[in-house]
Amino acid sequence: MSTKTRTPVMAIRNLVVDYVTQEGPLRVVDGVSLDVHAGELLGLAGESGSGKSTLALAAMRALGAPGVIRGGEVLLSGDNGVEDLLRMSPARLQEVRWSDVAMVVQSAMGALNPVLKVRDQIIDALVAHGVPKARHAPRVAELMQSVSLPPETADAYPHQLSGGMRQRVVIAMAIALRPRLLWMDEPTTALDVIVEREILELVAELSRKEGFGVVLITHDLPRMLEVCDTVAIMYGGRLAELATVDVIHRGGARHPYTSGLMAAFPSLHGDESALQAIPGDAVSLRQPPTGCRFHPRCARAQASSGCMDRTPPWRQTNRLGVACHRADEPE
Amino acid sequence: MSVLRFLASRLGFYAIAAFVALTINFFLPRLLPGDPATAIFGRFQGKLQPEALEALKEAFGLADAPLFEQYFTYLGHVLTGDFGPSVSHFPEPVSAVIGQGLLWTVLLVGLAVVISFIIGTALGVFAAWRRGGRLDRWLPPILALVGAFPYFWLAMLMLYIFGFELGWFPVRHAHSDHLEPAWTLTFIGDVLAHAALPALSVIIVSLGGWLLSMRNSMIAVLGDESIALARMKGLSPRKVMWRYAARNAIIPNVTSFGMALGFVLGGSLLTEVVFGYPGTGYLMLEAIQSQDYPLMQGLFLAITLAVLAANFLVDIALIFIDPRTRIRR
Repeated sequence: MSTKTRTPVMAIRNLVVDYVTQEGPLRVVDGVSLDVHAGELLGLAGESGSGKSTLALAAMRALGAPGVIRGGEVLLSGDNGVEDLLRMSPARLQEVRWSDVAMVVQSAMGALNPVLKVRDQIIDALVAHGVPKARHAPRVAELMQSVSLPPETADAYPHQLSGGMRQRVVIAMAIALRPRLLWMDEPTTALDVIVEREILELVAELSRKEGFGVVLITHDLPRMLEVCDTVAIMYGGRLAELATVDVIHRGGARHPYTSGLMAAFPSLHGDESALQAIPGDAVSLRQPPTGCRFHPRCARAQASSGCMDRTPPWRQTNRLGVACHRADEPE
Repeated sequence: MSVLRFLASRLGFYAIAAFVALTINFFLPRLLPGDPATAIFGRFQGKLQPEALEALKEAFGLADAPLFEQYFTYLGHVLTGDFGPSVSHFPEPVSAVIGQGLLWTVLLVGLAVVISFIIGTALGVFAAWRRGGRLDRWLPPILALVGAFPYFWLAMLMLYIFGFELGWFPVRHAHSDHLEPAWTLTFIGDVLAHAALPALSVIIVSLGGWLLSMRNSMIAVLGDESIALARMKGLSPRKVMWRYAARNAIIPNVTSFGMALGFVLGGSLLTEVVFGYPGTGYLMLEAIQSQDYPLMQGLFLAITLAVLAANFLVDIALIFIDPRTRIRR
């Protein structure tokens, strides 16, 4: 892993997102800060409801009702310097999205327009961003090649393709304008493990080749550790830990939740009986626990450290960090 | 290539369906007690000679030939468009009577259905696009209310107010009696003036249905990830609305549209009766009232064929708007 000291492609600062409900607002993302660098593969993990997808949509400024962005910045560094995506004009947003930052959404079938050929859906994006007509056909051919699809796939309709092919098409569409950053929200949930692996390897390869950063959201932690450089763990709408994959592999996770997540997945070499579920239920955002949101489920929680009543501050070391009162205390 | 093969197979299916309909159209009346010749004979209450019954039977093709021979004669006649003479319009042949009525009905109701479909669907697109907006809040309930009134009552009310009281529109017939049908501006204007009020009544009543179904299907499509993606891709709102949302949402509406077109011939009865419009619906009423069996049979057949033809048109339209209906290679 190379050390990246350049300006991040995207810097999320203190992002706060609420879901407006009849019983009042639900804080789904609570002050998350996160950097993504060019060429970096950042994995974003956490339980369902931890705010991963909401974070992605908010960072794309594509969050629909009932989601409302309450605060924070999404700083995008592009040709025009650093701009806050959340505060730019709709016209500028329309320009920046897809050309600087693009997204691969969850369902590859639902993401494609069933009545348009793959080619036309890609060209629509090219047209919207002013790519001259003469470049359309060559670019589509290039893209098909980049995602290892036969060139004639461009002239197929979505329903004529398999799930894996569709996901490749969605990826091709996402990188059509050579974005600097690609959000991938569980891009492989509907695919079998073999196709999943192929797709993730493809993304990793494309990222290396074209130099764009990737934020990969997935439930599949072991797979994430295989392809990513850095892993961000979210819990209850907050960032729990940001660690390199190497560190986690060496058992160096500093947040008990990260260790818990790791122990909850079987390892190829490990003992199956060692598999452990994290006790307790996922955090309720309606009535979040005081202090550290993980404390009711945490084996290391301790009143004297403030786990029960103080929100753990973010402890940054170099680019990494953790939000745990007891991170620096010995086990 | 696959499209042509698909169309050929659909055409084959409709040919079989039409054949079955023709066959039922032949056997059903013959399964019923009585026949048109006897009915007419009876109406004259003994004033006709018994020989006349034979002659009538012959005229109606009810000769005592074996059923299957009759059937093949019937098929031959149908294929040549020969349904025999109409009783109520004697001696005009049924095919000529229906041809006349068909022209007026297709002109009036066909056009009204097409206009209503286009306007209603477009309004549905806008209502769904600005969901909860002024258009969306007011138009659907108003149109649903109008559509909930019995059609004949609404039609008569319109006829009374706009035709009779205000005198804005002619109150009956397809054109003024003193005008000879010709391709002149006067005549065409006259025909349009006569068609306006009945067409308006059909449009007003059916608009709400098109609007609501398009709105609902559009709202469902707008929730799809493909729309979120299209927006993120940087497409203009107009392109998202029409090319990504409406283009998909219209598919179920086109199917209903085909059904509605198919029912134009038979379903125009109330409109044509209220407005005294000489179309197929009016003919049907006449045929039933005067026990004009040949005309009835011809009309039933025309309606059946119209439904089949409309369905075939929908199949063709769907090939163009929905690639999923095309058979895979």
